[in-house]
Amino acid sequence: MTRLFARVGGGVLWISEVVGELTLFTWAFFTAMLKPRIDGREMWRNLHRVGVRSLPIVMVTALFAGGIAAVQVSTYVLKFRAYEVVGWGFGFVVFREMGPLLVGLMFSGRVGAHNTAELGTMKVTEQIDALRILAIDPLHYLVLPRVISMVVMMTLLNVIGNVCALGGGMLTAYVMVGVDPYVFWNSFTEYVLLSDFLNGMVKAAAFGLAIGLYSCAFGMTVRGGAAGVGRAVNASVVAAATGIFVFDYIITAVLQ
Amino acid sequence: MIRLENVTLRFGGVTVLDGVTFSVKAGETLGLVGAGGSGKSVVMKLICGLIEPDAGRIFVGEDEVTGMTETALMAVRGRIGMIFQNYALFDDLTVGDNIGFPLGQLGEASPAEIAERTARRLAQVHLPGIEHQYPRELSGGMKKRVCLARATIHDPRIMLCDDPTAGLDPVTTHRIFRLLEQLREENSATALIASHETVFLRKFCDTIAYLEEGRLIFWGTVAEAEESPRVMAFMTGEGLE
Repeated sequence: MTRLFARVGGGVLWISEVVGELTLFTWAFFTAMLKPRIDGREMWRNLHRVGVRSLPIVMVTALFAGGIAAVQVSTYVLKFRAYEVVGWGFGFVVFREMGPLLVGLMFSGRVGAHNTAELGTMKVTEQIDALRILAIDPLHYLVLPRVISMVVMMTLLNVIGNVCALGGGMLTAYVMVGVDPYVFWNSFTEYVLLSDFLNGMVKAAAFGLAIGLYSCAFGMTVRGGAAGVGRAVNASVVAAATGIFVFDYIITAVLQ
Repeated sequence: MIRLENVTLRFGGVTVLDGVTFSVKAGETLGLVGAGGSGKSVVMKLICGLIEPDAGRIFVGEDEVTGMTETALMAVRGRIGMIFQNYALFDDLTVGDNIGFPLGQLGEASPAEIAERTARRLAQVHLPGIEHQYPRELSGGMKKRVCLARATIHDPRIMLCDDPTAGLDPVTTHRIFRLLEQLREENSATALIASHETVFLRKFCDTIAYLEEGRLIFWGTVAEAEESPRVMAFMTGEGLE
């Protein structure tokens, strides 16, 4: 019984510590954002690394995900002869949910994990201490460019992911069900609203912020050498994925 | 110039430093000796405010670093150059960018001036023309010298060297110590060197501080250290069996 209480208590303490660290880190980030001192070269390096290098994987994933969704709905489209609403249904789902969620999860796995590993390694090899000794604030030099890049690039990649998913869906709908691309496009442009697109963009920006903050926070607070870096990467990916779904739920509920 | 007064630090339940008191006068070099885990690296980090002690006071010049805000510490750190045990060179920057980094970030010089000072410093540490290489392309000894160049590019008044010759061969070790002394003299800097190279410490330092399990056992001149059986037993490795 004592052991059970100790386990539960230990778990509660650990969660409190993680939540506390994340909250303090988020507070420090927004405080720093009031008077940012961003190194231009570091900013460009991150925009390139985070955005340009993620482009191929996001495009391929979105293209196939669009195709898969089209295959799934093809049975019902044929059954109800609902050819005219395929474009709308597709656009609605991709813009509001599938696009930002898919890109967010891919982004978290590729960029977030890499970011935590990089910052964690810098921490255990004393590179972050070296920055502080050189009178440079690691929050301004390392964290701000990374988080800003992730918000900006997550939003842009969401647009590209949306286009690819729609392309994949349109192509598959034509090949599998015979929905004319013209009919698909007409239905899409007629019924999908700007608010659907903006809803997804808000989500993408929020997901970028969550991935950026979590991956940096876990990286900057690594303890315990190489094993600690591994644990931090794992925790960062789990936290970012959870954050994505929590943010998704909140934004969906608020903007509904 | 540097003063520690009754400094105590605990990590969890372990006492890392226990009431340590010593000072280093301006322009002096102090050699910090002690077995691994005796608290040498911690002393370095305490002096530049990377760690806050649980008790005691630390002064760098006229400034008390204990209790200082991070912003206030930045000004103190601007006067310090530190060599890390594990190099701590920035992996994704070239050697030239690593060395010129403090000057660029502090906005103290134009890009042309930074390039010129970097090249001059690299020549001084006998590594001319390697500005465009990356740290991963260098040997341990070369990395240490790049580290030395970066730590001194802004002409610091205080040099903190945490095991600057760890894992290096005797010839490179001697070269590093001579460079350290040369660069220290150039800026009339105060230096604190934590090292196991006791022969070189006796040659290059003015005073010696000996730590044992977080407690300061000895602090005095090199001549006094040579008369202390306990310090000499550690420094020479004799009489410990």
